[in-house]
Amino acid sequence: MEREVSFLPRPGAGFAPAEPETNDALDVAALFRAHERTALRWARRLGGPGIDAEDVVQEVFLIAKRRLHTFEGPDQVKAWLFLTTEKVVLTARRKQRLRRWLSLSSEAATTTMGAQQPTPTEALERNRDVENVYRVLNRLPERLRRVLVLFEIEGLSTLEIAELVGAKVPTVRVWLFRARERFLEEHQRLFDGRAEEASK
Amino acid sequence: MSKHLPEPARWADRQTSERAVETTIGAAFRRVAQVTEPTDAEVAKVARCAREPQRRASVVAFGWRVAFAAVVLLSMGGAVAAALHFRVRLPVVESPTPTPPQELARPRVRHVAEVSPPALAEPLVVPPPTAEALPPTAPHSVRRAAPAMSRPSALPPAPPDEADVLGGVFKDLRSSGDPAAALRGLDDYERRFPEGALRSEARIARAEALLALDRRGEALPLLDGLSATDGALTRNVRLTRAELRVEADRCVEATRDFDIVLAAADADAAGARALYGRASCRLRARDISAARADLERYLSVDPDGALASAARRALESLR
Repeated sequence: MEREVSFLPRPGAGFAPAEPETNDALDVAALFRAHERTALRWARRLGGPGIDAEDVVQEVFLIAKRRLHTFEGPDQVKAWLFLTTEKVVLTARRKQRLRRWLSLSSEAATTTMGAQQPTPTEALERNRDVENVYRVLNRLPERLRRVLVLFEIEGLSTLEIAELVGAKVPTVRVWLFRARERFLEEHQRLFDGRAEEASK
Repeated sequence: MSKHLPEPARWADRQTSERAVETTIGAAFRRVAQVTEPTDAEVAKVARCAREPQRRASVVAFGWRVAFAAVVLLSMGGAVAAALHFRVRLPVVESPTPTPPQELARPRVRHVAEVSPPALAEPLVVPPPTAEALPPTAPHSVRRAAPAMSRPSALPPAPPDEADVLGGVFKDLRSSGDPAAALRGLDDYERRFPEGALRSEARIARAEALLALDRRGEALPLLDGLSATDGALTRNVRLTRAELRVEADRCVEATRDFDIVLAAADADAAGARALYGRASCRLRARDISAARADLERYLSVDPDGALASAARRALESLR
């Protein structure tokens, strides 16, 4: 287990690794470090284009730092991180919607999503796909949106989703069914009409 | 219930599908997964930045402190001003005699929609809660193996499994063909889970059971209560609601539902039913040309359907 906790700085510690208080706290901190990549991925996938995933992850780890003492063991860290990431993402999306409504955000929505280094044509194609998927996803209720992202994009099983969100597997499957129905309906509503107009 | 059922197949795993749109969406989901996968450099950058939030937080905390101080000062100023103001006014203003609050409680009036007993051509077709999500031959495919996790003790306890109760209702309704038993099961469900996550599905199941018992007038208010943002209001449910609204002589609302059903597609079975239903509404509204167009489209989509002969007769009479 890695024993560095510099990613969770203490007051006045600057960039230097902080002194651990207890072994338990250290283990949990190391677990957070192990979940850094996962948290970044969740932030991107739950947030979609236009959300600053790095800001979200920083916020999540700040909250984690404050709540370290409340953890009873490493088992709950992943689910806790997910729920916290989801809440922070939700807040960020609300702010994004507000900014868009106030026309304060003029940045291209997909600028924060490019993880790889594709060719310009590939990038254009990918960005369009990403944008279209999230345009439809954003029309879904939060609960359905979440389960569809976790199942289709994150690639989790229904059992894993149930454990992450604290629900029963049959309930998750019902949500998934409803999410797919709604996604298809919204997709058809958004894009089929446009295709017909283009063909005319 | 679901322990013995296979994992639903992912759209993202499908290379080809009976429905082209699912293949397209699956490909788009794959691209999203690819684009959103963080690189090592990005993770390292986050790790570097994660050392800074304390500084950022201190800036934020300083900002909050300034804002808090400003609010306190303004409040104090306001309080002082108010005190001075009322000190001047108090001697000349008589304090009102406190009166007991009046009891304004009234019995709540419940408005029940009156509907005429209609005769629906087809039964309500609603998907069972897990039917679509559980294809029988779906492979158990998990792209990224995740470690087994135990439920965090800090989270709220899991609710009782309402999906199992509702699953029993659907079994009574669909497999056993016993709508009366389904209604009893629904009474039990509503008693146990008054705020259940699946109450919209329960409402639809009740409507379906009532239709099966030919208590059609009671079914429509249940479907009327579904909101447009509710995931349970699927295309088929909306279609059935529209047909019941036509029978209840509520053509304006029915046409709105038919339009939404047809906006998704008009060349499938649901679309054909919607075309027929909308044509009947348009005939009632004396919109003859639009009704004729719907009927002709209906016949081109479903020339041998149960309602095709009626549609042909209607078209003949319109010529």
